[in-house]
Amino acid sequence: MTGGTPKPLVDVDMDRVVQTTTFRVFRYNGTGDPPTYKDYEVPTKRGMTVLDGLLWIKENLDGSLSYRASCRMGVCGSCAMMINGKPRLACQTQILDLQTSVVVVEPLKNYPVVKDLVPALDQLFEKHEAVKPYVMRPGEEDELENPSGEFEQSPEELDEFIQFTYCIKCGICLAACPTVASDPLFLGPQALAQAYRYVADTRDTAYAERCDLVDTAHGVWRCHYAGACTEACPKGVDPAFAIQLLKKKVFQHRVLGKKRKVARVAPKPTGVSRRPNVPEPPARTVKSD
Amino acid sequence: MKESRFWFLFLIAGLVLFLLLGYHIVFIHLLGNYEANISFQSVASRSVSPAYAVFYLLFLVFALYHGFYGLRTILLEIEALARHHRTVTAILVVLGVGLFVYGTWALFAAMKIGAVG
Amino acid sequence: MAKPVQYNNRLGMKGWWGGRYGLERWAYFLHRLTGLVIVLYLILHIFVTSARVFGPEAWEATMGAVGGPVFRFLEYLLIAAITYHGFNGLRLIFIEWFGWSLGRPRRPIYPYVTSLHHQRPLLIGMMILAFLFLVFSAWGFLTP
Ligand code: HEM
Ligand code: FES
Repeated sequence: MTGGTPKPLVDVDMDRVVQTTTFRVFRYNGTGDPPTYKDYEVPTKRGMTVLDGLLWIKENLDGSLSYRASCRMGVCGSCAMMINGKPRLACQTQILDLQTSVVVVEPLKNYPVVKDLVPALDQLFEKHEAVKPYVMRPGEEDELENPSGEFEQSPEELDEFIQFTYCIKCGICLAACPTVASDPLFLGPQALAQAYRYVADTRDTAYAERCDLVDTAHGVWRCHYAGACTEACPKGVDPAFAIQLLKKKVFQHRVLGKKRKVARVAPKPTGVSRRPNVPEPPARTVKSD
Repeated sequence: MKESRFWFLFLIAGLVLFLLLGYHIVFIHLLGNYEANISFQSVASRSVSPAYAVFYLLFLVFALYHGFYGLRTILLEIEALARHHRTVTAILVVLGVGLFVYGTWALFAAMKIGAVG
Repeated sequence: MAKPVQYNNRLGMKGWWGGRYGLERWAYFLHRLTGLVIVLYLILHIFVTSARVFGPEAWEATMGAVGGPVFRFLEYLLIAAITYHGFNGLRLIFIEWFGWSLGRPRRPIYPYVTSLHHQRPLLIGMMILAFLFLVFSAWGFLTP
């Protein structure tokens, strides 16, 4: 054994530049000139994400580069872009994990580009809105406006759809979907997964209306389980799965005429009184019109 | 009619085709002597049988429906055609029905000549 | 200032290509390709086999035109296409209609396990069956 301090088994120096990465970035000036690609050399440290790289470029090399980001922790869904040909969250993708020295960064496919890496997400939100992503109880609007209690739902019933409530609306699945690529009228994985989320929610009773909404020539049947949306989803939502379950529900509704269980308003507990130290709920802040 | 009905029929047709097509491929194309199977003699002698006619009539209906609905799916997913789904459907229905009529005519006409051969 | 103009970044039919995605996306592309080839063949097949109606000469002439080793090989490719389409189609019917082999919805806890993982054995099983059928038909082809 020789003396001296032993070398650490793992090099944990996070500040050491371990690689110079070429960022090949899609540039579009927003005025109709043809887009170009521009290379930037980014000194890369361990743990650095593609978003960190873009921030570094903007700070040190080119202040005119545009992209969208906010939370830097995979929650807000702003930073979705094509990274080496696949749609990903820039803040969740570490540069060294890509195992290349050239990283091609482009705006999300299938959306119009506003500038550089900024897509116009209108179609995503319009389609989401089109499937009415909120609990509906036709004929019981008053109960929704002035609730007399909570809807009774078991944990097992919640498990049927909770996976699909994790969607952060980053729009990545629409960039991965082959049908969205060529058919602008297709509702797309995001909206269809949300349609299923409400079809499967026992608190919602607009089952028939929801089945009608997706049962069209450009609706749920234009999904062919290519699975790219699920593969790309950064939150594990599995939209392709939700869509197949939705097809099954439409089948049960249309062909078998099956009814789904409906959650009732939990009855008020009887024979009990409120403890004196529990405060009353605050007054409503939202006015119903 | 809702899109779902057409789509379920399309899948049912796919399921039926799996059986019919399996039979057709194995017995005409693979087993026995191919040259003999497709000689006029052999073809004509098969053509007279009513069971044969029924089999191929079913085959024709299911394959045309499945194939043309599938074709419609593909065409409707093309941006330039997506907005014209009535026109696309109408053209495919005319083509499909035309092929069905022609095929049916051929099956029945063949029953007669089969007796000659 | 110049008027803002958005750049059209829709992939179009190029987006049907499997690209850098997984097996299922390639299965989708092949299913579409084979489906298209089979419909075109079906139309041709209806006309070719109707030739019998016009008598032995017309039949032999038509069969002569589509005979020979080249057409025999193309016929084998067609059987390969139908075999793939049939077995993969069976998988798609299980998945898209009955919702089989996809597992159950689960809370998305990293590393995510999705329906793609659940149905992959089915995909691979179907491909093995298709392969076995193709070996069998190659044998049927080589022994006249
Ligand atoms: C062997 C039995 C067959 C089975 C089990 C089968 C099954 C299927 C299924 C399940 C689909 C739907 C795919 C999807 O939308 O996700 C499909 C699509 C299709 N099939 Fe078949 N099929 C068979 C035979 C045929 C035949 C004989 C033809 C041609 C006449 C054909 C032509 C098509 C076409 C054109 C499509 C549309 C492809 C697409 O949308 O990408 N299939 N088939
Ligand atoms: S910045 Fe919020 S998800 Fe990436």
